[in-house]
Amino acid sequence: MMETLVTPSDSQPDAEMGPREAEAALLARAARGDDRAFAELYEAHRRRLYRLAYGVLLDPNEAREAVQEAFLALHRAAPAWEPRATVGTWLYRVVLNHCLGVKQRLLRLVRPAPPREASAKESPEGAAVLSQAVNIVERSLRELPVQQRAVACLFLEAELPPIEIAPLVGLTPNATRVTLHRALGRIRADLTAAGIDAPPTADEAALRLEEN
Amino acid sequence: MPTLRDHTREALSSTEPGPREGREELDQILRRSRAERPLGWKLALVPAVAVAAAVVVWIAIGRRPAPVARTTPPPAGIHLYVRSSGEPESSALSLDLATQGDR
Repeated sequence: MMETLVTPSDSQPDAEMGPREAEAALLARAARGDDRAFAELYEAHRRRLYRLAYGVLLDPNEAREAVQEAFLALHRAAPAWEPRATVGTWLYRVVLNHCLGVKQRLLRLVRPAPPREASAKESPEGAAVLSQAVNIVERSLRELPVQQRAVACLFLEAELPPIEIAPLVGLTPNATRVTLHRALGRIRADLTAAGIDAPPTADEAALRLEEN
Repeated sequence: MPTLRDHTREALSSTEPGPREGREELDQILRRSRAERPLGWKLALVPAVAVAAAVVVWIAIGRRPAPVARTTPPPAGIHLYVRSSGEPESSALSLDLATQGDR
């Protein structure tokens, strides 16, 4: 069993390497049995990947399984890896396929979520607002169609632009923008209805401008 | 003021596995990957072994001595087996002098 996870500073890729080549070099080391190289990739991507999987499945156990399957696929693919795509984009695709492709899992998405309790560490007022916002966002996501949910998570969590989201979800860029606009509009409307203001980020504002 | 992205990230990260769970899951991934590799090699060997066995059987059948025209042993006495070169085996002639000829 490994003692500690490595941090990116533990391994210094060549300064002249691009991110794809650096990741390919780590995967080449992983293919030769270097667990630290694989751990570096795992640590760099696992949290975002989990949040994406959770955003689509809304089930922590299923999300963890989706992440495990994606990294297992990456470890298997390591010996023949070619840096045509970034590891992150490749992993997003595997996780999305895993999340969207299993009917039984999709059926579970309609189950209502138990209300979340506020963390004891937070101040009572701040925790209440945070808990309320978190519950509203989760409820909104749960009520969205799976495709809208996936598009929203890829935009909000993975920070991918619509043109990169489109091939991942099998839509055209224009259809992706429309889907994203509907999803974000729904989540924002639910927050606004509860008196919670959520200003748009720069890329969201740019998205609105594109549509106008 | 938190943005929509902040709220969404907060919602999505609320059940995120911590560093310890992450480490355990990484160990599990590496174990699973290693456990599957030897099986992959074995599975890859199955068709190779089957092909090799088929070749051996084919060679063994191919080298079996060709049947002679007469398969039952002749009775005691003089017997002749006549076959022209290039002629099929089934057209060969067997003569048993004790029984005044037999084909």
